[in-house]
Amino acid sequence: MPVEVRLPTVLRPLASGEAVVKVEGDTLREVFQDLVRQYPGLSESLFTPEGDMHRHLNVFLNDDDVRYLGRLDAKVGAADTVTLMPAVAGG
Amino acid sequence: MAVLVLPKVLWERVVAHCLDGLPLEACGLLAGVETPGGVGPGAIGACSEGAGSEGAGSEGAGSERAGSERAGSEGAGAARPTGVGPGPIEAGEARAAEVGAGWLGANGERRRHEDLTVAEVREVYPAANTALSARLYTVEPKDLLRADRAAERAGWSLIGVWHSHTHSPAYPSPTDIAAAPDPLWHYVVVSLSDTEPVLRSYRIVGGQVMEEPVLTRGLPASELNW
Repeated sequence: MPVEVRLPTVLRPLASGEAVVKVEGDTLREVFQDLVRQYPGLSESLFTPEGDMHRHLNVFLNDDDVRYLGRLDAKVGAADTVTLMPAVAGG
Repeated sequence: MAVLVLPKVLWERVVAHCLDGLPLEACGLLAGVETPGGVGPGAIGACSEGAGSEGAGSEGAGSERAGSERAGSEGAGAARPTGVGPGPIEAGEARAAEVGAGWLGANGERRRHEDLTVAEVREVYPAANTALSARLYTVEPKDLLRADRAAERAGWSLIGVWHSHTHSPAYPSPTDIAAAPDPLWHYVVVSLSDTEPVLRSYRIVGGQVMEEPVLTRGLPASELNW
């Protein structure tokens, strides 16, 4: 199922400079896996060594935070947009 | 080298957001500041009662104090309008209860010379500090998404983030450096630890901190070659 993924500036160098990438997947995990298949350099930014979603990443499925949709198990539909954004913190 | 252009009207909004929690009279610091092209102070968050209402022009409430010295801060270096309104935060006065933070929206960066890029901030997007702390900040991811979408609708993008240091200088802390997500972003720090707010901007690349000049008024078009 085709899904559009929007990448933040910090990840674009790892995806040949692309801001928007088309991938396939029925879940967020599959979307990420296809993203990594196309751009292997993204792997460490998306996944922890244990295979979980990276905690420094904010991920939205359309307007919804995937933390409330099952994280990597979130269902993704046709024409959905996945937006990745870096976590922002400091002090 | 990169230069961050943060027009005064936006400088005011950033500082006002950082000062949120101070007594309103302290917000007079923001009144009387000349704004570029006669643009009014716009929304000034916590200071709206004391320093001019949203959309007020440069002849708003702040103009009552306009007879006082107006010190522009054009040119390189930290943007720090001084001598405006009642001015300094009094020593010992209550500080902002929490770290303030938000994002900077701009129409990308313009390369002026091979070694000089200029980013002119077009809008600022305040965020709530979900850490509810005077030392740390975290932001609600949805605030970030909203800011990103708003910038995109305007044809801009987020090019940086600001936050305040309520008790320390305007320099990235080890926490800031460790958490800096993007080497292309501009990291603005507003210190409230001295008698006047001090705003500075940095690039943080691979743990290395590089200060960049902040201009509070855009460069002339002839200078930019846009």
